[in-house]
Order: sequence, then structure tokens, then C-alpha cells
Amino acid sequence: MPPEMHALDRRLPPASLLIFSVNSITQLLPLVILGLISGKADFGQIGFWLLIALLAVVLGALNWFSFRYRVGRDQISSRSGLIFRKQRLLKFAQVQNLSVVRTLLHRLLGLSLVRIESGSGAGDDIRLDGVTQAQVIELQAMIRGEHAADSISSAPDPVLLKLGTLELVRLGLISNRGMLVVAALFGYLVQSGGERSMRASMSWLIDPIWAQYQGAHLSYMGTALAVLSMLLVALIAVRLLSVGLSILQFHGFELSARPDRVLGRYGLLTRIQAALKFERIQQVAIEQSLLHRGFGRASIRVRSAAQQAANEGVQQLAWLAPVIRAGRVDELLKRIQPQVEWGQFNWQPLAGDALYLVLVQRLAWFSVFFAVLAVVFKLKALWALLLLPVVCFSAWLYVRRTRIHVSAQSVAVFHGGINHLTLASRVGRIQTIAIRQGPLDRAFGLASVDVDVAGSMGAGLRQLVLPLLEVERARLLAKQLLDHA
Amino acid sequence: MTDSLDPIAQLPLDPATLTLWRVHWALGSLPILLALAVLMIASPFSWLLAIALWLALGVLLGLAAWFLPAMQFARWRYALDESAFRIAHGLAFRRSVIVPRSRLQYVDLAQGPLERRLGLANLTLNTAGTSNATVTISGIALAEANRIRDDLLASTQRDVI
Repeated sequence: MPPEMHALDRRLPPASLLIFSVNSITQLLPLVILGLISGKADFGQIGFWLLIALLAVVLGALNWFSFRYRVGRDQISSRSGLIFRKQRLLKFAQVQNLSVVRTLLHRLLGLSLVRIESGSGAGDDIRLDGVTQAQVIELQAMIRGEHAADSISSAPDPVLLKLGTLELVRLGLISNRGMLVVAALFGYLVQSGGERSMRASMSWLIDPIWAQYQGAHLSYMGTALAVLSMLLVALIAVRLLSVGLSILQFHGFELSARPDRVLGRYGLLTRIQAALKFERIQQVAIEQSLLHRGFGRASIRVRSAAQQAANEGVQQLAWLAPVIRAGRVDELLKRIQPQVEWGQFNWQPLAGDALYLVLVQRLAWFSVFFAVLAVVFKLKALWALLLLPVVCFSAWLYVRRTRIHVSAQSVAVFHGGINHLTLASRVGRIQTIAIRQGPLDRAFGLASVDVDVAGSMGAGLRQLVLPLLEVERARLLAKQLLDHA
Repeated sequence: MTDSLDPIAQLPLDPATLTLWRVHWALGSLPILLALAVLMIASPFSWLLAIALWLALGVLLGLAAWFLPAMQFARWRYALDESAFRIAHGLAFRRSVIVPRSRLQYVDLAQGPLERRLGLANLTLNTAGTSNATVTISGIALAEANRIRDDLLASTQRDVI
């Protein structure tokens, strides 16, 4: 028997029963796997799938009936579970993030999944799977400490960044999302059955090409051209896939500003709405690969303090701008972190001897690489020496371009190899400062300063390190950072 | 210690720590000695050679267990001032970490059986950071560790992220 309903308790709308049923399917997965493995059922057996569907509906309905929530003046609570009852209560003041996700099913039903997260790390967020748009707006308003009526009638939020389809095509061309998918697929094929399964699955593509090639009797030049053109076709196909994935992920990307946070909305099939409180931003990463620069673009990621949320898959706004005109980066970041001197950093070079250290390091790695080549290819390995100038040039380029910035408000590093990466944090967000010195650093009288901040280190984010500085300068910078931390 | 990365961190660890570390090293060497003994028994060497080799390796391990902790001990320094807790250590790879008082989340004090006997404690400072989130100092006298903990907790603020 479900517990008695209190007058203030609310149930989710009946349409969300369908969402609960679909969610229950994941709970039934072990049963499905067991059925298939034991041979009691197979994919063609309609009765088995009907039973699973029925179970999912029953389980979904039970979960739906046992779930209720209550919105008070300054708190929200939820109760769920028939056998093991789980109650959660969150004060609005504790709420760090409210994210809204709309999968295809949600959109068909006109509902949303709302996750209200405290960022305490205890996994005590409240999930409302299947609330109406009006309820979402009401919740957002209450959590912001306003009355619902004010919020609905309030002016629309100013839009900071909007990405059209053309811009997403650019993003697809710049990013290599397609390659990641291809690599994952390749990995899966290798895992699932080795070379034979790979050949079998690619035979529809390879066999006709191979037959054509054998029939054509091409010269060396012809073969080379054929291989080159095939590579080109593969490259174009992967880039097209990247474009498709970018559009799928970021369709209708819109970043709007609230007084204390930014809101991002994006996604073609699954529509995501995620928020990011300005105060919780720990680190900003601006990426500019060679392709970014060719298109005059950059990408901005942020690292925020809601670690648990990221781990549990709650929608955090990780991309401030998946792609943005390079000239607009500072303007956008100034809106989000007005305390930081975006665009006016006092960039300082690395230590004078840094080049020697980097050269020694890279040449040492090159020697190992060369030794392996020499063992395998004997004298032919000498050709690899032609790479030496490239190794030296890349070391020179990195040291010459890499810069650091430290002020009372902010700390930043610009990594300037072939791909550019700027990492910046507010000094007020620093957790610890460490000075590091390896044996090679000591030989050159150098040291590095590690600046640690909160927040999980997602893809594309790295620790902020002020590298290759004179020891005395490293000490002074550490002191300066501590004074303002 | 003029070449320390952090000249402000000046306090050495409690001398009893050296005994603790040596015991740890010695205990850590025991399984290695045992594995070496098995290897020697299985080896084609004559008994005499096998025992001589085993003894030689044992002496080497013993020397390492005696001198390496001493070298590490000599480089360990810490300090607590009005703004931060600092440590500096490392032989080949040197490191100094500064934990601002305002960033402390909580402080742990732990004592193993050997530490209890020697009157020592492990002090762990936890921040909300990621790669350097915790800073542990093993080998301060219990009374001193308690004093540092109370001092640090008195200055901890509420919202530190």
C-alpha cells in the first residue's frame, strides 16, 4: 500500500507513466539478458518481449504511484520506492544546479526531466521525470527565490551566443567527433571478433573496390592515385559524420544570461537545458587548434564545482561555446567572469633556459624512438634523422609561444604549440599551490607551479600549470597567488 | 636547507619518524627477501653462491632501508603560518605544497599501532581541489598534530569552493 497522500503532495502528470515504464526497461535488462543467455527466449519470440513490456508497464506504474514530491516555500522534497522508501529534501538555498533534459519521448509527451542538484557530493539530488513546462518554469522561479508569477512575466533572458546550422557545420569540420565514432566502432569490431569479423562487416565496401582494382590493371602511379583518392573520400566521409554529430548534439544552441548564471539549451533529438552558476566556475579552457584558427574560431569549456553532478551524468554546462568567433571570446567571458581581465592579460614569457630543457627532453624521447627504429629497420632508420629539425622546431615554437599570466584576480597559461590552449582560473578559486622540480629542472635551475582548483577534470581540461620558470620567480608567483587566494 | 623550494617551511619532522620510516622500509623489504630466497632456491647456482647472493641483496636492501629514510627525512620540512600550511619534501623530485587556510575543508588525524607507540600522528589536510586535493604529513608528535589541527580548524571558513 502506498503511503497516504498529504494535501501538499503532488504526483507527476499521468502522461509521465509512459516515461516511468520506459525507464523500467533498464531495470529489466538483467532479466532479458538471463532469458537470452539461458536459451529460454530468443530475439524472435514475441511472447517473451510482450512479457517484458508488460512487466515494464507494471513496474513503471508502481514506481509512478510511489513517487510524489512537495514544493514548499523554501524547499522541495521527494519520496519514492514501494518497499525501500527514499525521501529527499533540498533547501532552495542549497541548490547548485537545476538541469532540464528532454529526450524525444519527453518532447512527444510535452514533458521534461528536471534534476535539482545540491552539489554536496552526497548524491542527494532530486529527479522529477516528467514535469510540464509550466511546472519547470515555476520550479526555476522558486529556486531563484522569486514568485512564479513574476518570473513568467519577466523579460526574456539576453542571449549571449546562438549557433546557427552553418556554424555547427563549421564545428563539425573543426572537431573530429566523426573520427571518435569511427575509432570506437573499429575498437568494438576488434573486440567482438577480431580480423575475421572486421573483414566480414566491411566486405560490402571492400570487395567491389578490390574487384574493380584487380580488373583495372593500374600502374604504380595509378595505384597511388587510387589510394590517395580513397583516403580523401574516407576523410570527407569522416568529416561529414562529424558535421552530422555536431548538428545532432548542438542543434539550436543558445546561451542566455541570468544575473548569476548562464543557461544553455541545445540538442536535436534530446533537448538539454543546463545551467552554470558564475560563482561555481573553477577554470576556463579556450581551445584553438590549427583548424580552429583556419576558420577564425575557438571553443570554450568550463570546469565547475558540481563534481558529483558530472559523475552522475547530470547535465552540467561543460561547453560555454562549442564554437565561437575568435574575436568574440573575450567579450563573452567578460560577461561571465567580470572580475577577470579577459583580453588584458599581462602575458609573461617562460624562463630563458626553458628552451634548453625542452630540447633535452624532446631529444631524449627522440633517441628512444630512434633506438627502437634502429633495432627494427637497421640502417634505414637513419631516414628518421630527417625528423630532427622538426623536433627542434616544435620545441622552439612551444617555448617561444607559451606564456603565463598572474595578477591579483586571475592566473592563466597559454600553451602555444601547434594547437593553442589557454587555461585560466580566478585566484580566489585556488585550492592549493605546489612548486615542483624534477632532476632535469634542477639541472637548469627551473621549477613549475601547479595551481589546483575544484571540479572534476573532464575531457579537454587539464591542470593549470605555470611551467618552466626560474626557481625564484616560481616562489614569488606562489607567494603572490597565496596572498590573493 | 638553502635549496628548498619553500624557504618558509623550516620545521623538521619529529626525530622518531626516522625510526618509523625505517621500520616501514624493513617490513616492506621482507616479502622481497622472501621472494629472493625462493628465486635462489630455484636457481641453478650452487648453495653457497645462492646464499652469498641472497645475503648480498639482503645487505643492499638493509642499507637502503637505513639510508633512504634518513635522506628523505632530511628533506622533509613543514610550517604553519597565519596564511597557510606548507610542506616541502622529495629527493630527486622535489615538491612544496601550500594549502591556504581559507581553503581547508577538513583535517584528519590518524595513528597506526607503531605511531601510537612512538607518539606520532599522521595529519591529512583535505581541500576541495582535484590533483592536489589532500596533503598528508606523516611524522609529527601527537600533541603538535593536535595543536596544528585545532589551529587550522579555528580558521576554516564555510564556503570554500
